[in-house]
Amino acid sequence: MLNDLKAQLKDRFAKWELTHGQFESVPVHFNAGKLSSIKDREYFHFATRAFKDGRIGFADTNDTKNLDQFTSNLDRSIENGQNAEFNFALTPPQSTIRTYDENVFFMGKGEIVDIGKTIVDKIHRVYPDIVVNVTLVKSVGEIFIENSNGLTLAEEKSNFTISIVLEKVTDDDILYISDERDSASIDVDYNQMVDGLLDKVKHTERVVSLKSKTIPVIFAEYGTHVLFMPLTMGLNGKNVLLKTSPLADKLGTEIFDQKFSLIDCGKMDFTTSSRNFDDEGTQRRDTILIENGMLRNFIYDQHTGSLAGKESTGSCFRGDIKYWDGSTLPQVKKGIWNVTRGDTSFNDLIKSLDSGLIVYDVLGLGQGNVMAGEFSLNVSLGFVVEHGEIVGRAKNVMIAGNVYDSLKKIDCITNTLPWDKDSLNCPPIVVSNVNLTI
Amino acid sequence: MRELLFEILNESKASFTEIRIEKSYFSEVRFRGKELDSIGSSTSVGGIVRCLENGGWGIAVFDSLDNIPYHLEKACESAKMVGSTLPDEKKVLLCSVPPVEDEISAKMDRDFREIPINEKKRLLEGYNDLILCSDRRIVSSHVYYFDKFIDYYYANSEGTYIHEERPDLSLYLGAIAKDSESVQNSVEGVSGKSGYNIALRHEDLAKEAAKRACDLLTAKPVVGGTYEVILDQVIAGTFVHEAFGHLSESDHLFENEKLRNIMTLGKEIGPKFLNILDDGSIRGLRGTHKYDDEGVCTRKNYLVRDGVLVGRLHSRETAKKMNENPTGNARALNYQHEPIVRMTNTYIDKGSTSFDEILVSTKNGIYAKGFIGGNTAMELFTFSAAYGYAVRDGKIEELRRDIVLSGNLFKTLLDIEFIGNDLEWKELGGCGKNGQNGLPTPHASPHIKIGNVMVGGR
Repeated sequence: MLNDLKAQLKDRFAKWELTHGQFESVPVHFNAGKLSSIKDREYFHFATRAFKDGRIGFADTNDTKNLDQFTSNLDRSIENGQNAEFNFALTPPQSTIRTYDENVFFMGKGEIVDIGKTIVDKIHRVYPDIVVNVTLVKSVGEIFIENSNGLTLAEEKSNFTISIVLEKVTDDDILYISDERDSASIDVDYNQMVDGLLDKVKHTERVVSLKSKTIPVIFAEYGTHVLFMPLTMGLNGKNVLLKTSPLADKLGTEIFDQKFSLIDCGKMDFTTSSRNFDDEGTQRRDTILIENGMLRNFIYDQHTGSLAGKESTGSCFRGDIKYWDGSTLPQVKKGIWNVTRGDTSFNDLIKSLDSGLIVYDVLGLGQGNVMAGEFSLNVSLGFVVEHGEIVGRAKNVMIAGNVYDSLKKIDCITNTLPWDKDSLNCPPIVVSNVNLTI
Repeated sequence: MRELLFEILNESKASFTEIRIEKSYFSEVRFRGKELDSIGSSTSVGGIVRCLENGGWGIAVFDSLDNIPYHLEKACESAKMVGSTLPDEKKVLLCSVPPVEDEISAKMDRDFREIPINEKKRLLEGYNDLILCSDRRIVSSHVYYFDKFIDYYYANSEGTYIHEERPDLSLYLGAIAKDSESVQNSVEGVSGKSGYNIALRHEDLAKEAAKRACDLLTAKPVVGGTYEVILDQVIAGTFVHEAFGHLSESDHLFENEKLRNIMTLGKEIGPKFLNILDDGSIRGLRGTHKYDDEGVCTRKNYLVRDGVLVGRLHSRETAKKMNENPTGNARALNYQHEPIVRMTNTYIDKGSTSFDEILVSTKNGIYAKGFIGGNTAMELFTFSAAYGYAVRDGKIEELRRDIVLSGNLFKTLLDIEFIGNDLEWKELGGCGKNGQNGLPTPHASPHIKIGNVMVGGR
């Protein structure tokens, strides 16, 4: 069927792109410590973009039996589509990044179940009353891209994800502590995950009040997402073109503290986000976004790059870089973002603080004026530092501020990152101009 | 389809099997700024098999209907594997429900599948132009329309067969304003399942979104602290969804004894005039279906009556485990997911106080309006208002922005001081849980006033 479709596209359109992806995944779920379900999921989808008379259209489906409907949808989309003049990817990308580990393919359901049981048992040995939920997912698949420039690309992908959520209930106090790690290989260190979670549980045994509203805030692990959600919008070339990004006219200027450097990284092996090319076949590459506080680049795809007079940075994805979604129009999205580490270890940082609040997790992320950099969030998992030690859990605390202000003055970026294979790798980062409501 | 599904079910070796098939049609139009961002239609087909054998669940999801028996066998094998690991007291049992056979047709004023895509584009273009031309401070827009029609089939090994047509439509009208100091955005929208006419004649909403985005440029952010808060119907509905609704979902409770003890039926959880319900049978709402995704009849469920916790939301599994009646709340986002316990249409029932009385009672507070979103960690929750006003001595004063309210379930419900008499439904948006994001869960409330709400701010 895809061959028939390709023949039609060649016949009818001067510029076209055909992509399809097929994946098989096995999610295994433990609920309250017991094996709850095993799932087999097959996913197949294909999509096309094509130009005619200066307009671009898009169609997608997973229904291989209805080519007529698909081509009709494509025609209607083109007839009514936006005016556009850009080229699909032209240059065959190099394939040097490793994205597939066959050990994931060969991982049996029994093996996955055993890992889940090990995680549950390890936590229950220390805290028998904590409810432990674990989801483990293995996934393998392949993405194909062909276009009218003669590009024919295929990339295998594998993924192994472990997600652990602990529920700790005492009297009227309900607390969730979680961690999630994924990798293209089977090397997710779940023992390290469990040790990190147990360490956090230990610190929640006491709830302490904050004595001051003006203390340094350490954004760590998932907490760093507070600082980056606005940047994913602000550094997006599409938003720069729309003039909605607060950074639109700040290229080449110092926008943040000199300690802060951010790279869109295209050269990491064996992460779930590792790709040799983006979802329109453009080579993934390292792009320096912010260098010692200076704004150096935005991210673009072929279309937005052509409108901005810039090259594509290989930042075009369907869904997001981790999880290909053929039903989604390809758009500019962040890749793997790495923040340059500082010189101080996390432990040394804590010892150096007279007072502070460590923010590991928040409620309400993304539910505000994110484009402007604003955040106002409840700290759902945070710890109080006093005189160089973590003294207990902070509760009923809200933090508020503006990321574009907060990152202008950074007290410290540490060098400690237990897991550096995520799509956002930022070590704990300390800022002082965050408002606390207690 | 009926014959095919029962033929396959008859081959199943599991003690219980269910199959859900969906054939979907989808169309969308999106403008961002002056430019059309996307336009098109798509179709998809797929299904899911769930087997229960020896007390364990096995599931298989597929994108082609060509070889369902193969997927059934996989699901059955997985179920046996899961069941073999479970001690007797942990094995899954399902509460009994009568089998049903039903065909439910959609009732639409105008079937959006018959509306040409260029007509939808013209409609959106009109709204988009209104927004962009309304004020020189408007720098961009985000105007988005989608419609979806699902031909839904469900059958199980107990003899239930349901064929339902499920339409859905949403229109978002977003305006983005910018000046030298700030960028602000504002969204209005509508949603529903009664057909294409839902999307028509919303020029006023488009203008309102643009005006508010501009007004927010000069509004001051709220100062963080604890306030008396009046919630309009929209944000109050979000409040009940986040603050209470999720903790009513029994799959959070049924394997967690301590949580069940905290949420014991009969516990006083709010003032005597507080009544909270979830009702999947209310005519015409997006969260309404005659049956849930296990074939159980939906119904009106009291969760809180006269301030007392009286009910929960269940799937067949949680109802059996907790020895309570099924409630028709097992829902799946689409065929790629198994059903989990979800809200349907959740609301605070109307009280007897007028809005004017609520306002007059407020000495120093915030009147929060509209919603951006909400989030919960069961005990703690947040919800974000689209905008609001300072209230002093019973009067609505200056516009405020960046209003994020947070609370503690066990305290905040008890701090409700007034419940208004002006119930309104909000259908736009959806709920996320366990990776199933965007499920329609309309919510409603009258105006309510809560004392002592923590509001984040600078």
